[in-house]
Amino acid sequence: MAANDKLIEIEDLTKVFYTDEVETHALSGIHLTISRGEYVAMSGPSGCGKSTLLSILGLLDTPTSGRYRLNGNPVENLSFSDRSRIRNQEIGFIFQSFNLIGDLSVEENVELPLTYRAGMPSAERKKRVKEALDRVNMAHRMRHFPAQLSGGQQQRVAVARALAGSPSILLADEPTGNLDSKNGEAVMHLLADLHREGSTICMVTHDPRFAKHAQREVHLFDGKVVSEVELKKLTEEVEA
Amino acid sequence: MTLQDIRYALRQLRKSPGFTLTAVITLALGIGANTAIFTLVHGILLRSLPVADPSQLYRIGDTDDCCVNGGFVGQNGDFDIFSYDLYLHLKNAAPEFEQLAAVQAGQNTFSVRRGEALSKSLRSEYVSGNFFSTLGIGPYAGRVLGESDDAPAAAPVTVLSYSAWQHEFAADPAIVGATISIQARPFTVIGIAPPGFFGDRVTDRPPDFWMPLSSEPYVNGDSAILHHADSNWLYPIGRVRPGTNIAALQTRLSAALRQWLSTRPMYTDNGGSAVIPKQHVVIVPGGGGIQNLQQEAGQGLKMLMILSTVVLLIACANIANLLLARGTARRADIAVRMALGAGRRIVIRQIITESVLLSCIGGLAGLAVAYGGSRTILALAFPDARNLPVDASPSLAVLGFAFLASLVTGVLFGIAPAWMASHAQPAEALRGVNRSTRDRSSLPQKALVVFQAALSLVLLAGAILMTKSLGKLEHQDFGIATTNRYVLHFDPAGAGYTIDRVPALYREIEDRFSALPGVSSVGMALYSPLEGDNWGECVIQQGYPAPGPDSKCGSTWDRVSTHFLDAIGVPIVRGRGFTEQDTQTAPQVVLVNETFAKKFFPNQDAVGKHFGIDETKYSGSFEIAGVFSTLK
Ligand SMILES: Nc1ncnc2c1ncn2[C@@H]1O[C@H](COP(=O)(O)OP(=O)(O)OP(=O)(O)O)[C@@H](O)[C@H]1O
Ligand SMILES: [Mg+2]
Repeated sequence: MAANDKLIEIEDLTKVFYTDEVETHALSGIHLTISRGEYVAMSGPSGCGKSTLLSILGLLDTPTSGRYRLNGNPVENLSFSDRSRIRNQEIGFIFQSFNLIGDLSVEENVELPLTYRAGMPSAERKKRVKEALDRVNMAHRMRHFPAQLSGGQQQRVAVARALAGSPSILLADEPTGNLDSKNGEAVMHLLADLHREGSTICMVTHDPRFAKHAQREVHLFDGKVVSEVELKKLTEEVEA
Repeated sequence: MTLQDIRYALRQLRKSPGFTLTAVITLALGIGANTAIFTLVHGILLRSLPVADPSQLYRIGDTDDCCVNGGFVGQNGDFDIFSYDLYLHLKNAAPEFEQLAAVQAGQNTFSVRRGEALSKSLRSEYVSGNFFSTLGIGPYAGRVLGESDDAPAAAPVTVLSYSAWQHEFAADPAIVGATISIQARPFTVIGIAPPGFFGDRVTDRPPDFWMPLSSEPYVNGDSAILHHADSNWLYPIGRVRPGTNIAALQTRLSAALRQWLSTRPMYTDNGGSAVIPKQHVVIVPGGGGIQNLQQEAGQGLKMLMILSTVVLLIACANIANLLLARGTARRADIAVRMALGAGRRIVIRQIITESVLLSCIGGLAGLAVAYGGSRTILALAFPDARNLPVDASPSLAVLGFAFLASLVTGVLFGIAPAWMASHAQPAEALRGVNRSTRDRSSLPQKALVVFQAALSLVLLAGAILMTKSLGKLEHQDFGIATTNRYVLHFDPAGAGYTIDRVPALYREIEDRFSALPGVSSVGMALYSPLEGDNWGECVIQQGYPAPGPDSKCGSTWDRVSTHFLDAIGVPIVRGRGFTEQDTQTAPQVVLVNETFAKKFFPNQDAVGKHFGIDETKYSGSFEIAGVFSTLK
């Protein structure tokens, strides 16, 4: 029951980068648990390790030491291809700079992670792409290419791409960082809606206004979690 | 490979037209050159005769000892050319051959005329009566030669090739049944061979007509070799019964050969019996016909194949490098794809799809290069070709080769970029590529440049070597003067001259030509220098023991007019040249070159010495009147 409840469990996690004989301790002893359906915001000064932590959570990178359980399974020592598979099925990424592929249309971009999933029939993929684009109100721009869209529209397509595979968790690294405040607000509302519909979200953000959308704010400093604040009440206020 | 990969790859190519164009041109040249060579390899080396069941055909003899030979032939006792008598003997000894035909090793150029029309010089070939039935070739019109046409007293007949009928006789259907004159002898044209049939071998001048062996004495008169059991001039080629053990047949035919040789004084005399045991035949597949041209062209084609492969490899390295140079931009895409769950295999597949697509486009353009290239090479290799039976148009096999070459090429130059891409870090999608600390592409890029440079060096060295040997051939000193000299061929027999009228004819030609303004010297010879043809004979010096079968007694000879050596600018170094007094009735004198003098009369003056040919009793036949400087 407990394992079912806790989507992510991290214990004593460290990450050290070695570059030109310089050691950078990006993360030093992180403990973090994220439950299913939770909305967590991560904040902290530049260089404190937020993106590093997020990339380990999303299996983009491996920790130097420590334990990481995803869905109750240890994932810190998986092979490259196993991590690729789990990333494809369990994780939805939303990047600061959208990271849509310029030479693929909106539809193809959203379909891309599904094509990496072995054995999903084309009809099923098309159905999911349509649903995801409908969800972010971008279905009418299916045939367009990213360069033909505004930043806000691109980020909505990126959200659709993250959603299409029905992942266990959405990971967002400053999803509003490249957007003006109006478009930023729109994306934040979209994420809040998704959370209400049941998505688990972990988002890195500098902006305290956006952090308020989350249920819990995790504050990082110099590679350590320095405070965790429950914001449920605030969220309820926003909803009200 | 998914449709999306292909779509994406096409967009990539469209996005950078400069790169795409460069790559496609490079590939078109590389793949085109290789396809051109393959076209020739396929059209010449791998060519099957256009006959029924070529795989059943076998030839007795495996090398080229064209065209007429006396005595032991071939190297190490490898018999490959046979007299008519010997051919019949082998035929009787080998019932495994359903049919065994004999074809003339060398072909002739004969004077052919129809009615009062001007005579034409056409290629002819003597073949046994069962030639067409052995190959399974029926007539296009009339009938083909049959066994009865090859009987000793049979009426003289000939079969035209389709292309000769088209080009030399204006496709006149009335030619069948008509009488034409061949070397001034009447022959009846009994039929026309089917289109596309070019005979028993690939050559640059396939026969225009075929005549039965039995008509050889009719054409050649006293100098006929059909019934000269020691003159070897035929290649046997036949169709074996299914299931024949070729190795056993070869052993038995070799025994039959030795048995026949041991009955001939020509082979047993002068210690010849000692080398008979090592005489043998080699039976080779004959589906491709007589392989003389193939054996000659094979070396050159192999060299070209190596060079064109090197060119293609350089092209590969070049394009791989261009691809790697674009790598940084691509890496961001790859990192995002990996972040979305693309495994290494998928990434590699995508990159290889792109490179194979690129190389297939290059290969398509390369087909045009190949088409032009193979034609150019053929034109250069066979400048005198008429009806060359080598097809340079792209066949299914050529298309298949081009496609395969494109595929391999694409994979080859895609490997480095694919390897690079597969080692992208998915975390870069989050961090941004610019954060990446080490530039991984530098090492493979440097390695590729080194590889490219090394290959270019090899190519350069090969090209220099080839140019040098060609230059050497061109500027080779053959010991004769060639400036302002012209060679003219004529054939009195073809015009109906009998041997008794020939001396007068020659004198008249010489006189009339000399009288022409601007002509300073006229000489005549049976063979002109550098023609690549002559007769050879075993020389026996007077007062010396008879040479054994292994002795190197051979020397070539030529019959020339009084002023021939003058005309080609070759000086007499000792003794005298020919004079008007050296007539038919005067003592028989010869001129020999310095090499001959040194070889047969070492450390003495050859002038005044005598020698003969063939047998010791003739060793006084010729007196050496002079020695001229060696020409080739
Ligand atoms: N690939 C890497 N190699 C070396 N050092 C790295 C690497 N990635 C991150 N770091 C270092 O790790 C530390 C944490 O970086 P990280 O990107 O996680 O910070 P951040 O909290 O996301 O900062 P920002 O708010 O500016 O995005 C930094 O000191 C950074 O220099
Ligand atoms: Mg960051």
